[in-house]
Amino acid sequence: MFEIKVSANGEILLSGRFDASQVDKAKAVMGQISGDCILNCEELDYISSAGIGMIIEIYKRLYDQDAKLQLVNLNDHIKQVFRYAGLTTIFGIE
Amino acid sequence: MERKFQKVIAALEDISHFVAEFADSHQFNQELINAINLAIEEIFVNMVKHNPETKDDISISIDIEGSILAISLVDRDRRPFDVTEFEAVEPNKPIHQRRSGGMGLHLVSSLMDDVKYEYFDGFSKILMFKQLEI
Repeated sequence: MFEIKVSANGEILLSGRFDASQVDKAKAVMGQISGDCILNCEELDYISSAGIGMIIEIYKRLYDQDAKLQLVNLNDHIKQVFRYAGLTTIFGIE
Repeated sequence: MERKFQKVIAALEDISHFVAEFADSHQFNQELINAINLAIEEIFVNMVKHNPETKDDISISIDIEGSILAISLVDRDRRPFDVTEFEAVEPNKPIHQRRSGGMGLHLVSSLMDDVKYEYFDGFSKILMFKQLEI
């Protein structure tokens, strides 16, 4: 089960499984982002290339607007997927 | 262990339950479970998106052969299309210079030790193998 919501402090909270069946649900929220934004992945258990593609799309759009997208609180599995994808530097993932 | 799934993206949830069932019976850790889910999802989604001409269910099997995890996905296909020949994403290129597509296949080849393609009697079959740490 994938959930996406905006917290009181403006962070986007992702939780559960962000797979290809959840792209439209994520886009409905992430497509509204403007300006600097934090994606809090503390409760995100799983992500596939579909989820990563969505995040890259938002990153590029914000970049073109001189805004930043930051990912925080990634678990080891999510970090590994970003590592394989060659996206650790761009998102500051250790 | 083999099961057939409707050829729609919405089947991913049922597929994750199938993987969990197999993983539970073999006491796999979460890292391995996620790797299996990811590899299967990427190939399954590829079959759904790039072979829309046939609507037959996609058959997925997961087995252990010795110390090797073997996964296969079989899809009715009118002509051979070897997905393993498709150029994967270039992870070392700056994000703005990468072409779109190919990320899923790159992840599959990163997570699995070997990926093969077969075509027989109107079916495409993707086989993935991973050495288990025993």
